Amino acid sequence: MIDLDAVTVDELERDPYPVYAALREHAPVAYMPCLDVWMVTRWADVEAACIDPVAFPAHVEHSPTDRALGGVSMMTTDGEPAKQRRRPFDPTLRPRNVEALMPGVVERLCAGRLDAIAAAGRADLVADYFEPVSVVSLAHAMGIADLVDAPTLVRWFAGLAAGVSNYEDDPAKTAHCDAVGRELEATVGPRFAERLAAPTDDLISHLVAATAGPLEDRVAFAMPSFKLVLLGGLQEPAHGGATIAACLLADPDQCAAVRRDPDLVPAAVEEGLRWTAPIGNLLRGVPPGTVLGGVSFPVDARAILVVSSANRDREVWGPTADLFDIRRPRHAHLSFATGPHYCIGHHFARVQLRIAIAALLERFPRLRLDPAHEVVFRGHEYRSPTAVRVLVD
Amino acid sequence: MPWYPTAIAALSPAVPHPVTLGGRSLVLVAWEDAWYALEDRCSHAGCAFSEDGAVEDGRLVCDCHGSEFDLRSGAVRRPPARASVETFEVRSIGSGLEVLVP
Repeated sequence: MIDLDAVTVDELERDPYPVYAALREHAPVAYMPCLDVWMVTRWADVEAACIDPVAFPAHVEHSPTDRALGGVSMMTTDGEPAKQRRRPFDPTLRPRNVEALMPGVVERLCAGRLDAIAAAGRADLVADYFEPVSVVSLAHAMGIADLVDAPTLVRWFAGLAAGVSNYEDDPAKTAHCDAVGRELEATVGPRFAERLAAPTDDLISHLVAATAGPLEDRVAFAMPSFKLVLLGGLQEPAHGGATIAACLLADPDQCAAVRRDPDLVPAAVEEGLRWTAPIGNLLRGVPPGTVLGGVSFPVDARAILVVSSANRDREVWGPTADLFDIRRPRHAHLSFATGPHYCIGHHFARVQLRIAIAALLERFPRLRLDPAHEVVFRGHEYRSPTAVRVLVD
Repeated sequence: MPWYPTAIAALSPAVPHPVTLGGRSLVLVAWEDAWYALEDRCSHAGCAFSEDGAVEDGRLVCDCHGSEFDLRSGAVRRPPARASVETFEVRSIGSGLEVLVP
């Protein structure tokens, strides 16, 4: 059994997987007091809820996501309102456009960072490689690379992430997120005005053209989704990359296999994203009448679909579900969700990860974890290694 | 049933490549030294794979709602799609391909 009242946020931040395993076993649809949400943890239930926006709509009253992003976004609306917010991102993030425009950018960014790491002889792959490559790649794709540097983007990300996961309504997290939001709008806002006056083919031109009316209304409509893409666009590739690298370096046999056969890189990427989903939860509303797993939800309930738990469900992944195994039979994971809110940036994230992992392994044949520093994972909604310290000589 | 020739020069392996053969809209996909041809229409909401599709680790993914399909059989590998997509036999001829379209 599991004592739900005894579970703490800190316990989930340290390692949520034992709690998820117990929930899947004993209480697969359960109210979690420390987060004030219902948690859905089995693969079948998470997948069913993802593809049913009527029973589990994206809009939630008192949503920390809307609060953090300054309004509703494509992730917290359904139907036409969601499509209207998502459509301007298509020209930038569609797979064929990503393939046409982004690999060269990502390769150059990786090469520059690897040069710096080679000179230093050691690195934290989170701060020195995956985060800067990810945020600057994203800034290029979003057309703001000339406005902000990598440290600023990483700082923005941290503030937005603190706000979006603030289910417990911590005032310090709210203040941090709000300050970052104001800074971001002050930095990027003028570009919206420029593009309204003189459109180009970049993302902000598409965003500002998506609605009619005065500039401030157009910005208010687009900005929450813009912030959302900044947030997700860093989380999945940067922290997914750190997880994949940490897993490979902790397992010399699997790492050697990928070095011998770079065609295994995509499998390593998918397995790392499955093993620890960088974005672990999807928040959903629960209208009256919704029943899942035999549970009828109370009025005003909100639920999180725990994709990181579904990705470890033994009913789907077998008895080795908790192991990182790049040779496991191929199966779609839920780290990019599924259904109407399938991640618009999934291919961009995958392209970045495949290039960054392959370039890292190719550049440093003796790459290894620094034995002086243990790899520590942290987080439940957003989970990744806090650092991956390596030696490269 | 006729075999229709098609060129394969400079196709990216990551995205489905649209071709019209025998009046049918198809996508060609390269994966692990083999070629696959599938109808260019997701069975879920009708999105064109050539516009909104990607090849991810051996699966054809529809960007619209995340449905995934087996390249070989067209079978659903992940909902929300319920029905498989049609697949077509492909053979290599010289430097090109031929696709069998009923």
